[in-house]
Amino acid sequence: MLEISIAPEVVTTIAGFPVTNTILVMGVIFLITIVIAIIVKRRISVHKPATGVAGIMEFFVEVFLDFIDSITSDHRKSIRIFPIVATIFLIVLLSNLVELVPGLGSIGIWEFHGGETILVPFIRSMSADLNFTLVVAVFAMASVQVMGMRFLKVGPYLGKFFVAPWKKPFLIGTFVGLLEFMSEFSKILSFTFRLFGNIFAGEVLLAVMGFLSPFLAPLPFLFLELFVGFVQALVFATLTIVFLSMATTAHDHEEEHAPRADYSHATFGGKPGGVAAMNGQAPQS
Amino acid sequence: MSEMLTKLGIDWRLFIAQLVNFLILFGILRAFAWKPIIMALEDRRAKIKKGLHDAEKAKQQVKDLEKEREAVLSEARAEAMAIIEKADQKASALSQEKIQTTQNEIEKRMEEAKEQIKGERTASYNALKQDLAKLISSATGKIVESMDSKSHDALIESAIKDLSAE
Repeated sequence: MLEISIAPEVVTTIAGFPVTNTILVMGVIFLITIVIAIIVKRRISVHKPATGVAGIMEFFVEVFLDFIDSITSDHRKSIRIFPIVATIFLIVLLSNLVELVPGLGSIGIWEFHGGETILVPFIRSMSADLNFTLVVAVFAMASVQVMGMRFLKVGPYLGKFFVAPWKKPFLIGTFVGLLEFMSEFSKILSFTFRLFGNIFAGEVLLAVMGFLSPFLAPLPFLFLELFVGFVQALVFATLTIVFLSMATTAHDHEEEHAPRADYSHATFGGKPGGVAAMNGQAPQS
Repeated sequence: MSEMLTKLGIDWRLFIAQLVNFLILFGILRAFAWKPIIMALEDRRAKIKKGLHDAEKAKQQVKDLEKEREAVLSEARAEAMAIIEKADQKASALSQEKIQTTQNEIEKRMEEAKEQIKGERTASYNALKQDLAKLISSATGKIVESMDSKSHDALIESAIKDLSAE
């Protein structure tokens, strides 16, 4: 009989640590990503466009950077938030596409759980595991806070949330600030369950269709899930860009009091002098 | 609360494991993929921008050179015109002068010739006069021989008077 479990199934236990099937898949994606990264590092060159995997990555970066530019409309800011957003997009996309891998939910080992034998599959999309979606959501929102503090400096950034009750809109401003502070946490939840819900639903849908009619019938749904997986990754990344863009932009009325932080000399990976210095040219004033 | 989380499959150990995995992936991707690609792209972008700028500059330079060439050419043309004009003037002045001197020469020569002719005429006239006087005197001598000395002298006188009056 078809078994549907919200929690990822535990394949085996190593020294008390439950190794779930999503951890296994994460390991595979980990390896794939590292291989891609190493290939890119080796093949990328300033003088001519790369080919093969590195070329695909280069194309992806160019398109995605333009996409971020269209949202932030600030190229330097785009470059600074790019690693965060691109990592989220790539990993989420890869993990979403795992649900299309043949053998999902059907290849596994039989285990005894509470007196009955159930099939524990080896492959399960990481996005259908709340642990993983929560990790990505927490990472996204944490980086939003960090980037906000870096761009606006800590004081003005926190000033968005904590407004003294004796300031201009008085208690209303304080209340709105607290609401915004709460919404930062609710964003984590919405991120988590949006991705989980979509991909888990897709997995269940595919499993059910495959169970009911193994041939042809699941085909349209496979295409649908391919699309959904891409769209969900894009939605996750886009929302992160939007939140980052919002967090790194000062409030209108605050700009008079606290000038916007100067990020023309922003660091990328810790190198002083910003992107311009990284490229070996003087920053434009 | 914790029961609900367990039912949803949230396990802090798994969470930590996934978080660590994700952060490592983020670090690796940032160092090995995103940074080199973005650096290459930005470099290429800057290079293309510079190339376009240079091309524009070169175009402008060519235009400027063309303009300069045109200016130099027109200046040279004007100069050549001026030189030709000057030469023309000089030549005409020279020929005028030449004509003048030639005319002068001719006039001088004519004057000389006239003088000479006049001199020769006077000389021949004098000679003729002497001859005539001789002839007359010899002719008259013959006549006078047959005359007295008084009328003879008077005749000579009047003859000489006539001759010199002529």
